[in-house]
Amino acid sequence: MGEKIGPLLLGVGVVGLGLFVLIGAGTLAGEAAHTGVGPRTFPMLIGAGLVVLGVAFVIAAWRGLELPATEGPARRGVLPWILGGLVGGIAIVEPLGFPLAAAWVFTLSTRGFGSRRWAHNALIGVALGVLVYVVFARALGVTLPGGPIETFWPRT
Amino acid sequence: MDTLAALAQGFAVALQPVNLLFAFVGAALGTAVGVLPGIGPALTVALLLPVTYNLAPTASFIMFAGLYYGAMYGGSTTAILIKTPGESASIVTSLEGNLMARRGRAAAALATAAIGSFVAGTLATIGLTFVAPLMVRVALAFGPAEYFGLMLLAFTTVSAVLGASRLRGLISLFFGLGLGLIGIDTQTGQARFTLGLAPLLDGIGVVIVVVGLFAVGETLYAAAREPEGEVVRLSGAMWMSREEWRRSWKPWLRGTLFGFPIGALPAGGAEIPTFLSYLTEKRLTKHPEEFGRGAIEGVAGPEAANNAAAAGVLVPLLTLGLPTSATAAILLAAFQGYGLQPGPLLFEQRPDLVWGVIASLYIGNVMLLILNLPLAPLWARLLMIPRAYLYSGILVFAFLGAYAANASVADLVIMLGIGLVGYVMRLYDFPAAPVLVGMILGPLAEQQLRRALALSQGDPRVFLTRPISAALIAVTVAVLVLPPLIGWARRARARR
Repeated sequence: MGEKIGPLLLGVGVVGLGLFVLIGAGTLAGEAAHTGVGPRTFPMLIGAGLVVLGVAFVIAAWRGLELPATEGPARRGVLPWILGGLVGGIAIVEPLGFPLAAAWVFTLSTRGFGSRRWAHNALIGVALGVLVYVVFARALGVTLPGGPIETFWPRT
Repeated sequence: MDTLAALAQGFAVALQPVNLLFAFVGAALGTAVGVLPGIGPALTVALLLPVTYNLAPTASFIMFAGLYYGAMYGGSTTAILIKTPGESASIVTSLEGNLMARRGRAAAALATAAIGSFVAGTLATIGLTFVAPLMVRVALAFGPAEYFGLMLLAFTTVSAVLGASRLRGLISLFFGLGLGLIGIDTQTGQARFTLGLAPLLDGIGVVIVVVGLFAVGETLYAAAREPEGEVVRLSGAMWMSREEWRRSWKPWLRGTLFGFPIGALPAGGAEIPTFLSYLTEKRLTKHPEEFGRGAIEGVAGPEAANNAAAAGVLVPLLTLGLPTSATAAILLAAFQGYGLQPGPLLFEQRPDLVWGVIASLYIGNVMLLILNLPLAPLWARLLMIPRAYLYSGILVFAFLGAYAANASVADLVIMLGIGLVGYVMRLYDFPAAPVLVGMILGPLAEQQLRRALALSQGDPRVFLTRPISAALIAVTVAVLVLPPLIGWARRARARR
């Protein structure tokens, strides 16, 4: 029973998504009068499809799902590190610039993969962030916030 | 004769020194990134998209051509040296290829893959050159009803034929179709499913979704597992014995014959031809005892099929605007980013671009052969990057790609959300390609549906009274309904 909970919830989630699309489609205005096909039609079809497929998935999950053999045993407690890296990076990319955000993402992610050499990893992260910034923002002209770099190396 | 003249024009564009440089950079970057484990061709192209943001369209697509083929070459190196295929079409290569490598014949396996890819890629590009103009002529006769039928067929084959589970493929497809709904309705101008959030008005970018699913989702999945599989050391020259040549050339040609036509069908995909090629070689070989222990035919054939299919996929993409693989969906998005819509009109309006890209596919293939044969040991060293650094680096580049598309923090938040969905999909074995095909093709399908019904005054029978569209819909229904019916009939007979 235990391993069925995940897939069952997933199926219910798909049904919920379908209902959300159906309800959202219902609130859309405008029906092209002479054809009967407007901005609602296609969303309605997709919402209905999601509900039907979700129900089918719940039934399949109830009967037992065939899952691929997982590659190697699971490691616990790693996702918070990686997610924390990404959330933190998203929060600081505009105020502090891309190089520091990239360093933050890199450092926390390496910890998620089991490396505990904090200073070493942070240094590689900063170097990678600066390198990517210089190549993409300065050489290729991609829009990236530089943070502290811009104060002593202003954009021309 | 027209085709040859157009191709000559294309070579005139592609052989300009600047464009040669772009083709080379694309091929080299594509190989380097494609070699990295966990990065398939789709993610390779998406991650390297920011490189092209400030290039003119022609230069940019010439580079894409190099990237696209380069990622394929790189992927086969990964599949052979560590048993981690970056995409489903390399699974077959990794079977016999990895076994060969373990028996100390890694160099021969890589060589037959590289030369086979070159032979198949070149033959299939010739096929593309001559089939594409014919398809353009057919496509000109297509109205909205036919396009809609074609898209239905592409939806079902991408999601229901490929992959392990029809149901999961369809759920992926509908999830993608749902993502495609977000944004402003092109015909009435009203916002749909934007939840009142301004950043969603333009819809969700394909790059954001690719990076979320393949980079973030895959990294979360990889972090949550113990690593397995070891890298096979590469020693000795990248060359094959006379015997190995003799055993390789027929599989190369047969693989091309499977790969190009199936890839060029609007139903497309590279998985089926690689499996067909593997089964054929297994049946025809004079060394059946070697299959399952590393037979060179089992690498040569599927690799050729894979590359030929990759060129074949460009036929429906360029002539109909129909993507039939995850990578093709990103290429289509890149075209749209420049305000270009692939299809018959593109051949008329921008022949320099279309034929320049096709010509640079020929050139890219030659460059890749040169890059891959002597330099294979160099590429193989990229596999030694520790997992922690590899995946953390992928995240940094994912971050860059998602942010740089619009300089928008909102896109990063969407990437993270899609990444979590991608992780769950990976856990329960949902395929990712249908999400991309659904989200990019969905809005186009809706447009054609509404156009067809507007032309017919709302009469839905228009899809069944026009012969081509009726045939396409009949095939679609057959693809969906026949396999379960056959399975049911078999079980019923077995019970008796």
